[in-house]
Amino acid sequence: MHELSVAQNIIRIARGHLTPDQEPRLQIIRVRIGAFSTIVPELLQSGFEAAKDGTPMSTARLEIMVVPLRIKCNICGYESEIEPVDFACPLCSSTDIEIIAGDELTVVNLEISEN
Amino acid sequence: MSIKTIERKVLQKNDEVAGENRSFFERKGIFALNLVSSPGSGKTSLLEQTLKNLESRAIKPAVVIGDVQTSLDAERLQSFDIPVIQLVTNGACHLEAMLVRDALTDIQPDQTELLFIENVGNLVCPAGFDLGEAMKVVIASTTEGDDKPLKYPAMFRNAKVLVINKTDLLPYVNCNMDQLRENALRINPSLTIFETSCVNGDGIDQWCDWLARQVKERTWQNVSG
Repeated sequence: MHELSVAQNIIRIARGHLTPDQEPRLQIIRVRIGAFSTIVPELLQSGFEAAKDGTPMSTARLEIMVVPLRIKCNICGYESEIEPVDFACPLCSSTDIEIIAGDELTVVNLEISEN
Repeated sequence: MSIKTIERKVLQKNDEVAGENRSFFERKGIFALNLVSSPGSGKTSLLEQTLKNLESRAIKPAVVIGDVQTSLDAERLQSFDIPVIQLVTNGACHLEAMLVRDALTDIQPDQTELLFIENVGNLVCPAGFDLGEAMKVVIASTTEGDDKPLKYPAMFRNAKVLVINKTDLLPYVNCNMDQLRENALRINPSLTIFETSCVNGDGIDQWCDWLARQVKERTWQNVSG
């Protein structure tokens, strides 16, 4: 259950980008989460609810975009989406691949309502 | 409504401190390993056997142990004449780079060549947190079956080494060694694999030979660099 610790980091990053008068007006925190990032979105949601408790950002919601795991083959150059158990190029079967998306954990933006 | 663009990695602070830890290890010539596994796979037993084996090899190790609540694991290693630092995470399921950094002054860094960081027993959460180690070593025991790599791909993908422990129990458990190797290599084809038993000592020599070689290579790099 490291989602709580991740949620606390998300809130810390958001607060670092807000002035004290913006904090209560924060509506949405958008995050991008890779399918291969070991984060369970539902657990991150409940972690977020727990972590924002006691902060001025009580109306803020967490919006999670899940990014599929994408790889690039170092042999044939083919880019593809894979399940996190098949670490091989679907075209040439090479296992010499690199992950190009799907392992990220990023705060994308904040949506703040006007005064 | 106004939108403020951030595009910042959630674990950036952890990654920054991990980067500082990594530079520290490189500067001091310390080969640091992050040992990860499920609870009960035998991390501490493997450490006991490893430290015993290393005593005759003139390698100076130190240990940092993460535990959710107790110092029982550190107490088991007190008989060795090396720095053993206990980190209690107070409920957290993984070690973070900041916690490891705080322990670094206590490991006698100028005397240490090989640092074992024993993570909290958990195959999910520690995969996401870089501590600044040279590599992750995942320990899987035969009692856990042969499908662990498929169930926890992030951990096996992020590790460089797999130690398959408790090989003495193979006759009694439902674990096909070939299948376990195949599953692990399917997730991570470049894994270096060792097979060990902490009961009869099988494979401990090979694992420690490899450790000694890694330490020597780093010492040479530091001397010639």
